[in-house]
Amino acid sequence: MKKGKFFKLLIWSGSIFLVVIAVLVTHIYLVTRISKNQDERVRQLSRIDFKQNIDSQEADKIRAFVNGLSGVENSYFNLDNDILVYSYLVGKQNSFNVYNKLIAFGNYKAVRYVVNETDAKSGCPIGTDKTSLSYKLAAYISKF
Amino acid sequence: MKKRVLFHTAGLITASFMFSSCSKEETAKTVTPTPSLYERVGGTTMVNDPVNSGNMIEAGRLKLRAVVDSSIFVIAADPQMAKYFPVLFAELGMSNKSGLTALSKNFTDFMCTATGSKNSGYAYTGKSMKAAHDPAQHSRIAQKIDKADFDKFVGDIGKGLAQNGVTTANNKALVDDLVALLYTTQGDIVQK
Repeated sequence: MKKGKFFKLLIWSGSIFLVVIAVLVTHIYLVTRISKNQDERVRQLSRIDFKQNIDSQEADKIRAFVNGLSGVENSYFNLDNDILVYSYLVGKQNSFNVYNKLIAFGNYKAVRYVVNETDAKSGCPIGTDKTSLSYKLAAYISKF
Repeated sequence: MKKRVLFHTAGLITASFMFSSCSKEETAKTVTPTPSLYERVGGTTMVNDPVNSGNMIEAGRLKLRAVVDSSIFVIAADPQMAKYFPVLFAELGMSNKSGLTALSKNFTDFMCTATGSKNSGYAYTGKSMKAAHDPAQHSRIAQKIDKADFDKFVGDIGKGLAQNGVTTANNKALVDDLVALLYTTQGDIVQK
């Protein structure tokens, strides 16, 4: 009798665990997939603040370079404030890579604009902790 | 006598014909509908969607979406405005969801509806303007908006319009009407 209860509990626990994993995997897939429909794509906006004066010619050069990177969709340069904003497809590009490639390209004095943790909390909570299981799982699934 | 009757009858017929023509003309003039803003930005003509190959889209929505997308970039690169949308830049690891796509779609839906689109597929179904800009009711807006920043927002939309070829120099009436439309939301959006 006790053995039977134990197995029942084990089956229920296993089933619930599988359902939770399935929901998590589906969520991560929906968030990271690159849809053919623009309205369904997960796009990210990132910003780079330049600490030097950039004229319109240089801004065009910067935009051409960034737009040419894989996964980058569009960009805009605010000449009054020396700020670059660009969008890219999540899973195909990331802001670290764009920043590093841009600095290697032009040796600019610039910094990545990073939102503080408090503000960031109003977004999707998955992936905030890079050591977490959900982050590692998301990173693994996004490779496919 | 017979001739006089004939003459008067002919006169009456001619007069009634003339009057009826005039009234038809006047009626035609009064029922000519003024094109909506949506029609003025492209209307319902179906065109290829350049970013969704193989899909068709109304020219009006395509234009408004382009303006919205350009304006989001201008606003995001505007240090005075960026404080309202920190979550747009929140990069949350591999599975971030900044809401950029949703913002673009919602804003475009809103503009389609506000400018007079009758396409139910483009209808704005989001929060009211008051709720959408109240941090207590919408976590994605970081703080209440003041008048100076609302004016800046409208100016940024103007820059978005200019990036899509609509300026006061080439189409002042359209720019003025779109700006006037944006200002109809001021009472709900400015909450500080």
